[in-house]
Amino acid sequence: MQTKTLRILNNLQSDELKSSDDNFKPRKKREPVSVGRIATYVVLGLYTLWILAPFMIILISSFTPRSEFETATSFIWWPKEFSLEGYQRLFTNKTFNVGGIPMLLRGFLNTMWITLIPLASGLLQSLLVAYCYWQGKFPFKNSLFMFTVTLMFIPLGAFGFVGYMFYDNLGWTEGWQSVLPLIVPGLFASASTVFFLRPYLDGISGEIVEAARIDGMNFWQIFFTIVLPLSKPALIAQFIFGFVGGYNNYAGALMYLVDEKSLWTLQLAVQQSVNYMMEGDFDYAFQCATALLSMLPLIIVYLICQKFFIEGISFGGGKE
Amino acid sequence: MGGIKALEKLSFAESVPKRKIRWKPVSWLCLALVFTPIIAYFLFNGFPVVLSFISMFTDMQANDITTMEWNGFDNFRQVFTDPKFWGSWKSTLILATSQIITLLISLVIAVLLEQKVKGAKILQIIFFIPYICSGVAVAIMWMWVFNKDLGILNSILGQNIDWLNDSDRPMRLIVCVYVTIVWQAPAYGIVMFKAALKNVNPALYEAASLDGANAFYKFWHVTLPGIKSVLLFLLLASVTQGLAVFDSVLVLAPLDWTQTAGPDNVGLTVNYYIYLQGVYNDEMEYAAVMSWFLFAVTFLISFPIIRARNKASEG
Repeated sequence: MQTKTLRILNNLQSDELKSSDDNFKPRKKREPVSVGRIATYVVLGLYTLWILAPFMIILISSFTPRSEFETATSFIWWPKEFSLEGYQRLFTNKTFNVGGIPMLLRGFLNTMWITLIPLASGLLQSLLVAYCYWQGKFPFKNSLFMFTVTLMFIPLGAFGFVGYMFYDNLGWTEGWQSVLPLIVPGLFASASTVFFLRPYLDGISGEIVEAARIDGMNFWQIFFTIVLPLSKPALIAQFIFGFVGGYNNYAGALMYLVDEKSLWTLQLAVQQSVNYMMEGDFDYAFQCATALLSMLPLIIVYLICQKFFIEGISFGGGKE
Repeated sequence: MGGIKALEKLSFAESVPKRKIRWKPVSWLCLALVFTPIIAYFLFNGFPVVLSFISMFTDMQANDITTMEWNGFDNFRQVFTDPKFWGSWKSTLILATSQIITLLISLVIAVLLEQKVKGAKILQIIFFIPYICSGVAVAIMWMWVFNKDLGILNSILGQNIDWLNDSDRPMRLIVCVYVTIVWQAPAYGIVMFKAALKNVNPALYEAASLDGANAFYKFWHVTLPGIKSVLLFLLLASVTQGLAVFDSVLVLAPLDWTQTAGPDNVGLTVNYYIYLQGVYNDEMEYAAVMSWFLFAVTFLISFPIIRARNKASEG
């Protein structure tokens, strides 16, 4: 049946494994301990401290009970007793609650679907378009690709906020529709992802598709059974970029969702609750707990799959 | 090509395909699919930008395009005589210099990590953490560090400095935002520089060593040319990023009831002001002028870098 295709697939994958092994490192002799070496370690140690210190500070403060803050005159390095009050208030406070669900949790869930739906759809479609450029035969192929790439290079970063007028006139800034500007544009293939995926596909031997075609597989079968699994590394890299961006997206949520409390994303919920707290009584443990808990899910995912993160980021940029 | 023919023979031997499947109809499908990113781009990026361009020369009621009325260059006159607008540029340009420090830090740390340091892997994992943290959470974290009465910084300094809201010394707020950026931004650069340093041909270092070159000479003549393309890429990205400060100022300098961001409005960056006018106050025609100005400045600064990149990739 489709054994030949599979065989080539296997060969391809084992080739990939082999080639990834032989990236040799520069040969260097072990240097004796020198001033330069000590300085290297000192600088790196200090930098580690600089990166980790803020996390340590809010971790300690998030466990400090309110009563100690009230009597304190300077920073509390170590609370007399650790308490979970700050975290409790996060989940029990009536103000930070929408429909019986604590705001932070609700924000997290909203962030998940608002990020993942367009990301999955956009990635799949971008891959489909890259696959068309890779294997399809159609007129003006190269000019269309060049045109798409040119579009990508127009730096539209300055126009992050002008889209608001467009969606406002569409009626997409009120009620439940206010989530649409954050979802709909991402549903489609994006020029930059296509630009990134095409060279990756070009690096794969076309023989495998040829063989699959002879086996009688059609366009879609080849896409789902061969192209999709083969482009996993490139897709993971793009997914990480998109997911981190979506999880941390604050400007977009602020523009469109601020009036719809039930649609608040995580970042919006965090910023709004801390700002609210600033106006009323100062609740530092709450503030620190909110910041910490909002970062925690992504940090955990990162620590588990850090290899993918770092490779994905340098992979994505190295191409550029 | 020979391989494909061999495969074809093989498949005939197994007599599986009765009909050869041609992709003739499918290639039209391809042509249609290939247009999706172009159409999506024009619909969701191109059209809003064109709309904003038109709105610059008009007056509208509450961003409603049906109420557009031609008013020539009134909006431009208003924006360019607005002291808040120029103030926002001052804050933004000061904050943008943090990108140079960011690049230096990332380069130094990446070079140090490449020196066969023990635990370099773990260190790299730690150094990348700020990249995945949200601007909002990071700003909240630093807000607590800079807290006037109970913050750790004032406790260490033994003083009672109002970092975030001192109307006599508004620049202190800029210092806080600056620190927030410099803490977070190098994470990306470190990973990128490190990947680039790995690709520098080790033979070049050996050759330089044989010639008796010192560490500085090696860095200047071997390392730097090797990472030039990544350096220019990061420089280009940092121009855009440096001029787009938004998340951290919104947390550290929230709007008060007079729509002032921080003491003396120093927290008001260009993007903050665009948001305030266009979205918060529904005056997009005003914000559009500021957006196009920001675009022009970004483009002017980026242009020489883009040219240098093209030159570098040619030769």
